[in-house]
Amino acid sequence: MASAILTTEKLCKTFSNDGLQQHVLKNIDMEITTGEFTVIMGPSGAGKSTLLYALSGMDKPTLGKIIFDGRDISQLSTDGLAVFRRKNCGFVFQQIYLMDTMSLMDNVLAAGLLVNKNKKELARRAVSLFDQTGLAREQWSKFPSQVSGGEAQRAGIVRALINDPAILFADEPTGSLNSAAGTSVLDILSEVNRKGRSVVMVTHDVRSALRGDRIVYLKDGALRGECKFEKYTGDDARRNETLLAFLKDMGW
Amino acid sequence: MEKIKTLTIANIRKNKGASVSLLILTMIAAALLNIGLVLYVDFGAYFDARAEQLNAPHSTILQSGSISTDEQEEYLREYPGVEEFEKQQVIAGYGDYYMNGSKAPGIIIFADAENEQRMNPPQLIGKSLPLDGGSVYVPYLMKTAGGYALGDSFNVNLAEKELHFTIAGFTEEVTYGAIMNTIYRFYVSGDRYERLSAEFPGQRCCLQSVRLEDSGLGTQIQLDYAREFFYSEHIEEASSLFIESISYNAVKTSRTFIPTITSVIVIAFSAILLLISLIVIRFRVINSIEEGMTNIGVLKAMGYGSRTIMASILAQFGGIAAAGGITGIVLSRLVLPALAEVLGAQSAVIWTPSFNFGLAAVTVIIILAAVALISFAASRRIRGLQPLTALRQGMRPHNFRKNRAPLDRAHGPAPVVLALKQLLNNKRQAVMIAMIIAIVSFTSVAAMSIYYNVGVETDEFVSVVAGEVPDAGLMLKDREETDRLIGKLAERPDVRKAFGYQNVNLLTEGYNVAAFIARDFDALDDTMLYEGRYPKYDNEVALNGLLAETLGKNIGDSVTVKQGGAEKEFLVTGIIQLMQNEGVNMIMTYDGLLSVQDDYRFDQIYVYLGEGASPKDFIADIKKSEGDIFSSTVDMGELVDAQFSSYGGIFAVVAVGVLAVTAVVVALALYLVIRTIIIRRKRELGIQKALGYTTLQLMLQTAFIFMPIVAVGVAAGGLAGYFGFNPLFAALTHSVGIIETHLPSPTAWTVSACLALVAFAYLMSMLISGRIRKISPYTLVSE
Repeated sequence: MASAILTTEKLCKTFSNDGLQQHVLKNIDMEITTGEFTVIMGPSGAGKSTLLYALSGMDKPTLGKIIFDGRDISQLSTDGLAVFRRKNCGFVFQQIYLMDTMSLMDNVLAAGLLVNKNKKELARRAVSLFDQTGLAREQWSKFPSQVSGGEAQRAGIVRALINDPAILFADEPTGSLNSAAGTSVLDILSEVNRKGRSVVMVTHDVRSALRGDRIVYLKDGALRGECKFEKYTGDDARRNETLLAFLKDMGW
Repeated sequence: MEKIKTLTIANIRKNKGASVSLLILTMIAAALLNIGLVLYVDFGAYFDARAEQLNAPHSTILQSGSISTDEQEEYLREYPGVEEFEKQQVIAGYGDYYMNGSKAPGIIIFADAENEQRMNPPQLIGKSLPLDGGSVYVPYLMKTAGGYALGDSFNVNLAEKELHFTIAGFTEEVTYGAIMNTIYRFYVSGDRYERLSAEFPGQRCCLQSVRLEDSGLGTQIQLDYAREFFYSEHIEEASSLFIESISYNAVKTSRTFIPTITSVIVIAFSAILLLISLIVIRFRVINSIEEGMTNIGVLKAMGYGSRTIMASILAQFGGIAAAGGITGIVLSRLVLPALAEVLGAQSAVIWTPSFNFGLAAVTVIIILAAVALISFAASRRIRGLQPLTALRQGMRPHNFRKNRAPLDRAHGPAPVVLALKQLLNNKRQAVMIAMIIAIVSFTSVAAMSIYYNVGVETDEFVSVVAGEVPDAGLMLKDREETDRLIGKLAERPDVRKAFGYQNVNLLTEGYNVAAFIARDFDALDDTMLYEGRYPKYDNEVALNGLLAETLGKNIGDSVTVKQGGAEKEFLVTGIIQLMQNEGVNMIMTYDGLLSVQDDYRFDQIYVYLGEGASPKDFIADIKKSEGDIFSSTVDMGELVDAQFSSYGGIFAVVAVGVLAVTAVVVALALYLVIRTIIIRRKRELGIQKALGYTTLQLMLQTAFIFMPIVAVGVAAGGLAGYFGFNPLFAALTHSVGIIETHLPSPTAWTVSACLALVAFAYLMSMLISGRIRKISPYTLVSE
């Protein structure tokens, strides 16, 4: 049986603005198991991204614990969280967030150099990952502004995987891509997961959510329910119907 | 107009930090410019005005009473342009006095305070006491540079006799109170004067003073007087005469020398700061156009014209410059009194700087005009910008086509390589920082080197200003004893070398030239020669560079020297520099002088002691062994210390000021650029934080961006300052006769200062980069 890689206990996040408090996450207790593809869904403003960034150490919770590998990361300092992220997390963003003054390859290596000082070894790994994403070699030395959104997102995935993270976090990874590019990105994420890496993805998109083997539904900052599937192997009408029924049940 | 005002205020608000930094830069530049101008214009003018109020003489001739004649008085009274003549009896001669506890030689004049004196009558400064038989009024310089206070004991040595007084007051003395002329007038009571006159019959002298329609002719009248009475055949023993003349111009040059040099340094430094401000403003304008490209597009699309947008930029930076200029004037008003006090110590001029509206206006106009010009030039590109192009950020330079320093191929640690990439992506800022750092490094190293030579290791500077400086100077009563004593000195183990060295006045090409005489100039320690060679034979001279310029002579030319009825052509073999006699000087061999004055003998010996030997002990010993043969003995080291200690203080203030301003400029320039880079890279820094870069790593990366540039700038500026401060110093002192200097460069100081500057720049960069702490990766993704 797969073990839990990330666990939350009574996780709360409250934003304050001009004396007004907004409780975005309320007592979330959840578990991410090794090798699982978890999809977080919910309506706009439900707290999906807030939960994702709290789980990934990008932001600190207001209350509660986040246990990673037996250690409560919610107590870490800002720099402690940075070290945690570089060693354990990979990120794929909706806006891609590549550094536009660096080539795609340099964007990847800038992340890799944080963990691996051996540039040659790092470059070899980057090449291998680029090849796996199917991004043409001549594109690697180009700047983000010189490639398509899909190509940039593939580079984003390579960057997320360069340090061999335990968990890959993806926030609406297909949100800014066209249909074909989106499918291609989802295929890569499924492949990454199939190889044993945990993936946590936030999405609005049902087609994207079908890639997950566990769908959790968040509403008004609280977990409302979850739905589990077998590993994704390809388009499946029954899987689609089950998911739609779950979502309907959740008030989607 | 309202549109421009709205845009301007919005721009300033948006860049509050940068606006304040620019305000500080322009304020310092304006303050320094105003200080320099006020010093340059007002100090000399104040000195002139004060001299007029005191009815100071334009020319004075002090000579032995025995050679004074009615004919001479008549000559001066009738000389064309003489408005007023005054003749006084005084007691005068070579002697010693003490400044800051050190014995210093010079010419001492005792005047009767009860005698009527129309020209520069004894005007007392501050508290004073009535004169009695044991007290004396001394020049104010004795207080500011000599360390004396009212009621202190004051001892002088006149013709080898010690005289003791108590200071009863300080006089405002124009002619006989300057540190470089070393002729001082002391006032005693009528009773004491009578006693001095009886005690020193050989020192009874006649002081003739004139005021002229044109004060600039003070030197000419002396020249004509000397030519009329002392270079003619009927005075045969010209060399034995005691005659000292001094012109108002010489006095003024001496007393305003340091304020003038200080003002030139300050003005030059303010120009450098203004240049730096302009570089930064140009950078800010170009940068704000690039950053606000979309806004410009929107404004243009709304119907704003290029002129309005450019006017708002001009108003923004012009407003900052005007505010900086005005606050700079206020700042200069706060600094000037303190500076006047420091300068007063050397010049003994009680100058209270008044507000000069004209100079303040000139300062603000210069700053404003320069800023307006550069802002206009930098914002011209707005003109050709189409609204649609601007909306599409069409002018943003897509200069990242080439991937510089690719990470997979670059060598070195990751933060350094990433910083290098940023550096290559920010070339314009890098060049700007390099220029600023190089400029301020140059000025810092040059200022520090000048201070080092003027205040710490003063030998070379003293040699430039004072000429040859031995360990001890011996003046003999009987010149026939000179050769015997030199021979005897040569046998002493504590004496390294000793020779006759003296100056005499010689009529050369119609000019009264101070000629320095020695048997062998190669024996001198001083390096006054900077072109050609020293004179060796009895028909050779070397001229001062300024005198050579005036006479239109060069090496290989000949000059005519007249003395005691003799006339001879001398070949110019070299060009020298000495500040004595305002640059109207030359050097000639002893044999050369004998060829026009065959009875000449040295009565002054310069003595150079071996290592470790004490001049004090040597003088005491030689006086003991030789008895009463000296009219004066001088510890030259003490004399130099006494005369030059105030220079060190002034240049120390200048050097510290330059270093402090340098620190402020470096900090402000780095603040402006790093802040801009952080704002521009905010997104990128957020991404890097999200990827796991810590704040410290990103701060280091940002600081490293400019470290190579800072190092290059410091190295270039430091080297230029190290090797260039001699020409700079010569240029600053050219007007007082310095053509070329070889002052030693303080290597350890320069290296330390350069390292300190790099370290300071690094610390400032880290401090300014601390803003990165505020950038959160979550803010990036949540925006």
